[in-house]
Amino acid sequence: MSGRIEDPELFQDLFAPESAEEAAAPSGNPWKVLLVDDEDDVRAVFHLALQDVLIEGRQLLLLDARSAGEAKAALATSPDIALMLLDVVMESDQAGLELVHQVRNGLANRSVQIVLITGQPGYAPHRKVVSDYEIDGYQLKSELNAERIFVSVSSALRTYRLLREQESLRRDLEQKVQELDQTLQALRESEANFIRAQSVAHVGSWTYDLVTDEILLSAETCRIFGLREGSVGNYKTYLERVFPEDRSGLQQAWQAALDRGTSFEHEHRIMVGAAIRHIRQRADLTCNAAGKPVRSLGTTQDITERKQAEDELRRSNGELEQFSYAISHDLRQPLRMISCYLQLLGMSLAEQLDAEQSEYLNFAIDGAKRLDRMLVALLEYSRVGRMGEPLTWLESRAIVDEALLFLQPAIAEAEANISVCGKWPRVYVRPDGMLRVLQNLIGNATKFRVAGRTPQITVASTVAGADWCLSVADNGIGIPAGQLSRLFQVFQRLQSRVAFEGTGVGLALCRKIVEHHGGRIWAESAGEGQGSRFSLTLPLEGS
Amino acid sequence: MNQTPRALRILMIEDEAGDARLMQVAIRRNGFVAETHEAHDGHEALCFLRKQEPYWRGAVRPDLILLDLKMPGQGGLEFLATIKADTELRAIPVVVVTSSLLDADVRAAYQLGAAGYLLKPADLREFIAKVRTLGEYWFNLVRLPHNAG
Repeated sequence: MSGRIEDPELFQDLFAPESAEEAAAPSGNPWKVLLVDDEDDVRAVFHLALQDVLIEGRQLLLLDARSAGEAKAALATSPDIALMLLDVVMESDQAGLELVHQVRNGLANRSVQIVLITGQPGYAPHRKVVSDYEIDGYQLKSELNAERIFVSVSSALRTYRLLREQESLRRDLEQKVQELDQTLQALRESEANFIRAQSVAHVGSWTYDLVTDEILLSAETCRIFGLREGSVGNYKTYLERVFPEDRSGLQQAWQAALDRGTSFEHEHRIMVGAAIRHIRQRADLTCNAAGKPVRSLGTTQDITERKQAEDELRRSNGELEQFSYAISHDLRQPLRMISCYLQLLGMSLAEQLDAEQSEYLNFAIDGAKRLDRMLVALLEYSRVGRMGEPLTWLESRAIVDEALLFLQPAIAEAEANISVCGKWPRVYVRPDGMLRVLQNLIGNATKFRVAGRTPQITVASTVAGADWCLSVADNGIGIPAGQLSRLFQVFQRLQSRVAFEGTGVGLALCRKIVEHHGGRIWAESAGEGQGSRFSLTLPLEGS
Repeated sequence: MNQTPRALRILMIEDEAGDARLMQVAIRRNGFVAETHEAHDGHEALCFLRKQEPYWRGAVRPDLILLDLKMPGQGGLEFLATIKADTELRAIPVVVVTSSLLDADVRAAYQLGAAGYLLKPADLREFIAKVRTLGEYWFNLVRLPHNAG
């Protein structure tokens, strides 16, 4: 086991720093190098030869093992040992080679570099050792010198680094491939979901290549158009399927979208065999570097059912309009004849009628006039939401002021104290509708007062989140418990007509207007004679 | 102050006899002196105004027209459009007297050149009061074009 060791003094010179690079400060973790030899002075030689050496800018950390057993333990606890300088003959003649076998096969460590150092070449024939045991280098103790050690160690460490890098690249690649597989799988699932979603929603998709004039249709788009799955079209064949009256509108809308280079949306009819379908096309355009649209991705939605429902709604609204007109005119005309001619009769017979007869006549006239007012109120009620008054931004305070102006005579007559308080936001409402609501609520507060009690009416406004809350509170006759739910129904009166005149439509009208704004209205009262509070909330941004 | 030496000539276009009679009653009860003529729809009224057969040989040109909107045959708005497009007739003021509350009717009437829009109330006294105001305006306040009969 002894070998020829050259003068240790020589090592000092050989490994003196030679260039700026080598003199540079060490960086990174040191290379772990395991010295396995049962002879202390052999390891000392290596320590001496490798002290202060930098390889690729990194220092060496030399670990000692005096036997194959110690070496195996070191390798097991430090798997990042880069290089093992291994004596072949230790505990036994083959101890070194057996260790190599265990490292490669038992520990499955294929990256650690193994350089054999031996004084007995006969025990480890070069070629056989290298191929059987995956040996990376072979040094005879008799030939060891500082230069050989350095060259051997640095070349082994470079190989180790390359191996590790290669391994890390391979791992990266494996991970990337795995990720790609997962992405592909997700994409396949997503496409399957997309196809299912299209079929459920009756929405198909398509792509249009403007350069080649080719339209690719999804399965659902094909179904909507009554085409074979996988059909391909172009601008001309598409246009031929569009209902003739809708073609020019579509062409204009498409051209406008191309000019803007942004997005496209259009509703038109298509011909599917003998049937007509309504569809909504939406698309985005992709432009080239010159800003010219080259590709479009779009969706096709079958809106036939919705269109049919809209037509039906229009028809039924038209009928309702007719009916309203009939009420306003046809029913009221004969009623006017009854009331006016009864009154005329009353005037003509004035001298001849006794008190009782006059009373009969007046009941008849009052009934007819009341019926006329109810018809007018009903007409007004039926028109809420159908007259198409547009939503407008308005100062809510201005609506109250206008309502108060309108109610001024009634307020003066009742000698009511009105206080308007709170925060009054800008609101998005139908002005006439909201004015009517406020007139009704403040008018009611003025009207339903307790005899001999000065009406105190508070009109308050607050903003709660995205809602506008408005309330009108009074100290009037209040509402009996259990009657609150009837308040907002048409022709429901809680008070006798003798005490309080009215058509019984006002609050129903308020509710309809408020609900048509996407809000709600309710009443509170502690009971009869306790006053009442009417509150409503509306979304500030409109419904 | 009536600027003409004769009674104000009114053409009342109204299909309902009851309504026409009520207007006569209201005019008389207010003490206005008027020469009223009646037509039952737009077509009859145009024949009267244009002195055409078969209805109105010897008809006079009215100072004021009171027009119902809803009539069988030619309706009020159609009549209004026709007369306002007629250079001979369009100077005659037309006041719509109707029971239609529809905003669309009110708007259309003024757009076509109506001089006023009066709602017929269910109460006789109210009606008489309205006709008094109407009469004071057209009989006494404003000056109308002086027409040769």
